[in-house]
Amino acid sequence: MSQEITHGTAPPETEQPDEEGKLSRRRFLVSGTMAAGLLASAGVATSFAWQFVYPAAAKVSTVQVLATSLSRLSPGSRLTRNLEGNEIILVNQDGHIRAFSTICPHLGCRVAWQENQQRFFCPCHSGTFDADGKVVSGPPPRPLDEFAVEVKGGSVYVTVPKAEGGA
Amino acid sequence: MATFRDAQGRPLETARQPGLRGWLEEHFPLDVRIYEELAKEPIPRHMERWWMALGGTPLVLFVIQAITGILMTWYYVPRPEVAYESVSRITSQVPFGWWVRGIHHWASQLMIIAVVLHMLRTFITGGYRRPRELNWIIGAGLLVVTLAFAFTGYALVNDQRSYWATTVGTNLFAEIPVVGPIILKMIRGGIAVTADTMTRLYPIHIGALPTALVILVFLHIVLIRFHGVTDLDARERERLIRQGKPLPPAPPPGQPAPAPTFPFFPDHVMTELIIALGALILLVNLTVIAPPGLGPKADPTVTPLHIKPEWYFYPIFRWLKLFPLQVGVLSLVVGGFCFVFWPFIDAFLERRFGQRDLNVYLGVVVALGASGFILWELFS
Repeated sequence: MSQEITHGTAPPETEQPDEEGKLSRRRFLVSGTMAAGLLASAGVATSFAWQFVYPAAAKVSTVQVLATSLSRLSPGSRLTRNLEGNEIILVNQDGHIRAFSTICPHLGCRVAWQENQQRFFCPCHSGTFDADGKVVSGPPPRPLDEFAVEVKGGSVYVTVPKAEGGA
Repeated sequence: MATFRDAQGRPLETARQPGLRGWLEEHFPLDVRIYEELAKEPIPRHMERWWMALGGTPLVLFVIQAITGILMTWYYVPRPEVAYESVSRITSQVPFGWWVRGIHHWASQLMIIAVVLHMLRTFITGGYRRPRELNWIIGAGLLVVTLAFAFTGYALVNDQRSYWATTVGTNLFAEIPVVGPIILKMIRGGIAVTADTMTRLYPIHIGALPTALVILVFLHIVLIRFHGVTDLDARERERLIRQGKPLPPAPPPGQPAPAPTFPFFPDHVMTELIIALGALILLVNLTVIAPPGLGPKADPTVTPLHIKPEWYFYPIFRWLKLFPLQVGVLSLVVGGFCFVFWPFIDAFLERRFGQRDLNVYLGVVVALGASGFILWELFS
């Protein structure tokens, strides 16, 4: 069987040339669809990039942890403890137990208690805090952070933040 | 014999000049004379002074940094649990490791000094003025990249100073309004300085920053060649005429006036090479006399009592001690903005108040102030 192949002529160009300063409907639709597709792709890519750069933050909950026994924290004394990754200083102020964070609220260095000067001192930018954690001198913008303390049956419990999973 | 031609009518094989030059012209088809022309570009006389020729020194030092940096990556491990030990190994066990690390350490400091001196000279002589504003901004970008190199570099050592400098330095970003916390988390890879921080800073130090520096240096040099070097003598004459002051005396009759320019190659290149050689001698001596040590390993639970960043961050360090946090950081951000866009601020002040010498006073005040802060911190 022979098949005759004819080469038809191309259909006449139906797109009307743009009038001066005006978009034809076809060109508008093509450009619009392309722009919308590009925008959607860029949005998806940005979202993925964001997730890659910023890994899911760990959920932070609080947990009450046994810090020490009351007998080891006599009035006027101090103890340093690391509870769930939080470095804290426990203070017995005449029977009133307090737990201070050792992170300086200025730029994140560790403060240390200086017994001879009765103060917390941050070596990075010379910030000083009194025994109550209040700013005495230097650039720190606020007092030392404090954690909730509960004394139960001769034991000292401190409520500290705890990271769960995530990065 | 018939000559075969391509579609454009060019002969497929052409006779080439004999020798290496001919081979090069055939295989790398650019006219060598262009390079000769570029190399012999006439530049103004004032560039003969050494303080006018400091621009090439940071580039020479960067090449040294690239070589010594690559050598150290063969032994350095960017993981917090072993980074310190790998630096210790480079310093005390790898043959000549102490020397490679020492050169890298001191070259970074000399590079900062060279960039600052070059910018100070440009600032005081007004070399940033129209049409060279963009090149000043590129130069400011190069200073930022150089400082970022230094900061990320010593963060990788993972000793106590390194760890706390990273903590403080990255925390500073958090105080920048709106974008600060986002930048902080991006650099740290989380809320605190963790293992993710080092694995982010390392590729920034060895990949992103070198790429940025090479691109900026390329643009910087291209713009310098497009604009040519500022003719400071012509500017000085213009200033004297504007202020109604007498011009410098002309040479006596019969004596020829000195040529206003001299060639870039070999004369200016020679000046640059002499400066670079001086820097290299200094570098090697510093490395032998004072090789960089290694402090105690990073301990996130204790900040040592006496802790300071590297000396070139002393002005910022002291500034932050003097002012409350937000005031300190915001003033640094505003100061940085003014520094980067100074050519436009200067032009505005000149239009508004007719002041043309503010850059001289400001340059001297800022240089003395920063030096004073460094000395204050050094002896406190």
